[in-house]
Amino acid sequence: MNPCPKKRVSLLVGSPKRKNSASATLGLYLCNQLDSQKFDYQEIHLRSALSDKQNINVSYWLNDILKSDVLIFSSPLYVDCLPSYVFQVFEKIYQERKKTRDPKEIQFLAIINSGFPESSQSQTALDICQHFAGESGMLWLGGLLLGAGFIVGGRDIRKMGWLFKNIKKSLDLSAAAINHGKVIPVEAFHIMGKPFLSKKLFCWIGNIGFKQMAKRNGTVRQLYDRPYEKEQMI
Amino acid sequence: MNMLLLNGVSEKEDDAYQIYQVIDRCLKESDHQVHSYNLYQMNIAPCMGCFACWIDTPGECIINDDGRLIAKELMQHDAVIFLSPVTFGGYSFELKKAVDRFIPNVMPFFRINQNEIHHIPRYQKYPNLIFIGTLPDKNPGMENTFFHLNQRNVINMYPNLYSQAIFYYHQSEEEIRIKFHQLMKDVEQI
Ligand SMILES: Cc1cc2nc3c(=O)[nH]c(=O)nc-3n(C[C@H](O)[C@H](O)[C@H](O)COP(=O)(O)O)c2cc1C
Repeated sequence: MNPCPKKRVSLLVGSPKRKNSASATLGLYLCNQLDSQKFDYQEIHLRSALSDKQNINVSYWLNDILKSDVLIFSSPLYVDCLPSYVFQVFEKIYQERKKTRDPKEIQFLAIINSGFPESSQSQTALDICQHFAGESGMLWLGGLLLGAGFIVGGRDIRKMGWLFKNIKKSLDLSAAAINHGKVIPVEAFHIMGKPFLSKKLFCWIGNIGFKQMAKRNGTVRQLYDRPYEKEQMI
Repeated sequence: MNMLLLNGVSEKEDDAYQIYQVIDRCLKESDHQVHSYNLYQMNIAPCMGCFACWIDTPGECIINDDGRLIAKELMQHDAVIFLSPVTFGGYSFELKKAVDRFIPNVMPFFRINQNEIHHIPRYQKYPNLIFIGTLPDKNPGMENTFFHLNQRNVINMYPNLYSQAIFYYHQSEEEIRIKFHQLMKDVEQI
């Protein structure tokens, strides 16, 4: 008897960054926890996929996405929403699914990380993902929302300290659920969303951090510049 | 008023484009000074997420393209209209690529505002905002998300006043005109 064919997982990375992207780190960690006997995964950076001119139309990555059993979409929050080109990709997938009326079941899990520490600020972006998945006839697995995601950056999640234990635990729980074909437990969503810094402490650390970066760049004096100040009408 | 129209509808989207044309006519017939940009015809690269606009060249993006022009234009007007097909509850790629390039217009620094953390403003005054979404038909779920998104942007973009509405493809020119005039009135400073 043939063994069960492996399921295909596509990790769609929404960050434009090539290095130290929290979105890529979170998504890859989760994919690496999937049972390799049951799942094969591939990573698609949406920004690079779109700027690859030769493949812009009926592109290889679009086919790969459409053949997937599970899509893990991991993205930063950009202006309370998703980065611009994600809409181009969502639109292409949606149009293709509509055109072909492909009944293939695709599961969709979203991971959204934001700069601000309140994960609730990503709720609108998550709602957009859910509309997309619904309109494209996909099975919605839910969304993991992480605040202050830049702390993850390109770090090894396994080696992050006690303060960040919930990130690892949430991803482990989610991967275990996918491995066993089960619903992702509420706990996974809940603990990922828990802030690990108070608001005041976050502002204090963040503001010092930006000032130090400016100092290193020699731009402290320009930090408050207003290059687009409204020209006064005489 | 000195007004800016950022059109995130492309010519290919027939019905939505007709709504854009009605709005454009309304603006041209009005007493307002109007600048209008068709974003799909502009060279605006997506934000690279490098934050150089906060640290290296504060207040200006390092990508030298039309994204800079639009970020500047935003600050030069009394009111700005964001027009976009409602795309899964968000904006179109065309509008969003411009919006992502607005972050140089705020400071990198954080403060608590309405019990949430946000960036502090770079400028003293920001334009009022009118958000218009287009849809083939009523879609309460997506409309709700679109309105929430606009409200979030209001927190981040510091207008004094804002207004928002959805225009449907089947609405008559007259209906669109009446609603649009109301949206404009709502952001006129007394
Ligand atoms: C253009 C732009 C817009 C952003 N908008 C928001 C925002 O609205 N709220 C927020 O919390 N973080 C915002 N951020 C911060 C990113 O979400 C945050 O830095 C994230 O960790 C980046 O993930 P990545 O490393 O995968 O790119 C924004 C960043 C950029 C570059």
